[in-house]
Amino acid sequence: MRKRWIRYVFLIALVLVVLTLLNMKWLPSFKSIFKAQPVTIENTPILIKEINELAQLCTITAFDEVVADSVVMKMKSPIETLLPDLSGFGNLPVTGKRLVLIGKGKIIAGVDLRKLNEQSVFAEGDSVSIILPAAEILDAIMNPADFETFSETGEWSSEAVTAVKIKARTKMIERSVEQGILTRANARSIVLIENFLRGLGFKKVRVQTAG
Amino acid sequence: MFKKIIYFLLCIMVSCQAGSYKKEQDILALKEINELVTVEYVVNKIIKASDDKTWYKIGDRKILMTCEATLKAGIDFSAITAKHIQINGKEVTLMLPHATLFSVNIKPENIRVAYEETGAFRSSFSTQERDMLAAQAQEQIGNAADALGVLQTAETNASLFVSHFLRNMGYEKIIIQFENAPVKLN
Repeated sequence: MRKRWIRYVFLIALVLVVLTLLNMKWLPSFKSIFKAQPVTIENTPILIKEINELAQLCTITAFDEVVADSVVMKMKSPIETLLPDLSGFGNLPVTGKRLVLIGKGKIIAGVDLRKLNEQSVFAEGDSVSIILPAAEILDAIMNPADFETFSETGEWSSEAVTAVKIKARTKMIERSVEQGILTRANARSIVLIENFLRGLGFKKVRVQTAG
Repeated sequence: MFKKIIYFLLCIMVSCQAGSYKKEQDILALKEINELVTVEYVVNKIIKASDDKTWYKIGDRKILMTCEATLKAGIDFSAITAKHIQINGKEVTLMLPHATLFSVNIKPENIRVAYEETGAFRSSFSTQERDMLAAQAQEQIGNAADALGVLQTAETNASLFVSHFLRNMGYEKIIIQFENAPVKLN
C-alpha cells in the first residue's frame, strides 16, 4: 500500500516538474525536436560600390501584388507515358515544368529635381515660376522577401526564376502606370513645391510640370 | 496508470506549443509620400550559408551567393514648413529634418548563385529558401546603413541641394541647419 502511494506521489511530482519546465521554456517541446533548424547567413562584410548624389522628390507610392508564371512543355516520350505523371499535366500527352510566383512590392513615382536648370526657374521680387520635370517611375521595389513561391514543379535554374521575377516586377510597373500614378505624382509634386515656395515668402507662385 | 500519465504528458508537450496565428490584413493602394531622396548607395555582399544544424538530416548543403543592393536615403520634405524657415532680406535660415533610410532594394537580377554544394541525401536549395537567405542579407544591409554613412551623406547632399535651389531663387546668404544641431553653414 505504501509503495503504491510513493509511486503516485512520484508521478504527480514528475507531471509538475515537466509542466514547470515547459512553462519556463527550459524543456524543448516534442514538436521542436523534429523541427528543421533555420538556415542563417554569416555576417559577411558589405562593400560600397558606388555613391550617387540624387535629388528625387518622391510623391506617390503604389503598393501592389502580382502573379507571374512560366511553363515549359514538351511531348511525352513513350517511356514517360508509362510512368505516373508528377508534373500536374495528368493524362495529357504533354509534360513539363511550371513555376508560379506571387510578388508583392511598391512603385515610387516623383520628379527628378536634378533635371531642373536655370531656364526652369524664374524668380523676381515676390514672384516665382518653376517648370518641374515630368514625373517618372523612380523606383520599383520587389525584394527577395516579397516573393512567395505558389507552385513549383520540375527543376528551375536561378536564371529562369530571375526571369519570372523580372516579369512580375514589369507587370507591377505597368499596372501602376495604368492606375495613373504619374498623373498623381505630377499633381502632388506641384502642391509640395508650391507650399515650399510660399513658405519661402513668395506671394505669386506658379509651378508647372514639363510635358 | 503509469502509461496513461506518460500519454498525458506527451499531449501537454504537443498542445502547449500551439501558438496563436494572427496576421493583419494588407491594404494595397496608392499613397502620398513626401520624400526628398538625396543619396543612393550601391553595395555588394556575399551571402554565405551552411545547412548543417538539423540533427536528423543526413549530409550537409552549402550555398554562396552574391548580391547587389541599392540603399536610398533623404529627408522628409513635408516636414519643412513656414515655421522652419526664417527670412531676413536676402538671407534665409532653413531647418531641415534629419535624414532617414527610405529603401533597400535588391533586384532579382542582382542576386547570383556563385557556388552550391549539396550532399547525396539532400535536395538543392529551393527558390523559396534562396529568397529567405537573400532576405536575411537585406536585413543586415539595412541595419548597417548608419555604419556605412548613408544618413550622414544624405544630410550633406540635402543641404547642398537645398542651398543650390535657394540660390537660384535669389537668396545670397543661406544657412542650413538640421533639427537640434547646426550641421552646415553656407
